[in-house]
Amino acid sequence: MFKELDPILHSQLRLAVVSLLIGVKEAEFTFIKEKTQATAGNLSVQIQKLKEAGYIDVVKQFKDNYPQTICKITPEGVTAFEAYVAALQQYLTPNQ
Amino acid sequence: MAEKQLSEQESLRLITEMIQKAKAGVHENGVGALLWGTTVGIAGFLGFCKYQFNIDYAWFDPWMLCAIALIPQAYLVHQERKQQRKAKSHQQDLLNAVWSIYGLSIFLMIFYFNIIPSATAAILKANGEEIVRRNIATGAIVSTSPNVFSSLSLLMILYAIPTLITGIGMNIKSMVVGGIINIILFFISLYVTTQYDNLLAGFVGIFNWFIPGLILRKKYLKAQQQQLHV
Repeated sequence: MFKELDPILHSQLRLAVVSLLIGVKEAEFTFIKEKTQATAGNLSVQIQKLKEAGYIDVVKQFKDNYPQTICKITPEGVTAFEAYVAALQQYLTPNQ
Repeated sequence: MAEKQLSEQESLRLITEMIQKAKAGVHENGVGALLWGTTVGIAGFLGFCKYQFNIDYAWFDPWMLCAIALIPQAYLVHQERKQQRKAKSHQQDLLNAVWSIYGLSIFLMIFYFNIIPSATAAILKANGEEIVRRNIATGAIVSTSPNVFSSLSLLMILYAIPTLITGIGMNIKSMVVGGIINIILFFISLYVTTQYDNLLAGFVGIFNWFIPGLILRKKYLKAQQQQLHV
């Protein structure tokens, strides 16, 4: 029986964001935008969805008079990502 | 990156690619290691020259360079990180704490080396005692101040700690090798005079930090260059 893939994570940009954040403690919005090569508008929407799902924390602050958005994966996000990878493995190696 | 439905293979490929990109984005820039390696290297070689060529630096102790250099180094490293670091790795806070405590320990050791001789002399004097040196050949006895023997050897132990933690923790091979060379040089320093302790400590600066710093800087600039071309 295959586990269903988490619909929040099974989207190209949201999965890219969570995969980036899993490898770092926290990252600025500009860093994520640069690495995913997404548009600012699209990225903002997807980050908001991940935030609403409780997978990431978003902190908005000012740094040297410029707005700065910092994203960080939450423990729920880590659990969801691990479950997603486990489900993927099941799809890719169904005999195991 | 446009939104589209992913196949399982595409998902896995994307996860791998993003994890690698995140890793590449938090490269150490090597500035701190380069600056500290240069300072310790210069201080060690100036210290060696003092004994080798009987140079009188008057009031200036070459090892004071390390204390002086800590402030601009901390500022430069902080500035570069502020400008370029857009993501923070999990190990960064821990390593920052290790290097800050190392900097503090260097200061405390220097205090120890400067205070212990006079404090010990004062305690001995209060008990009506003093430390003397006797010339074996002539039998002449002279009063001497109690000092910390081979203080640079003690500093070499301290030098190896943050380097090996960083090298092992961050998987930086050049720092692990540098830390091992540091320990070997420490053992050699136990059997040589202060003159050569200075030279060995200078080499510690080169192997522990300067060479790893050059390698880290090269990797960092290469990663920056690759990101520009993506």
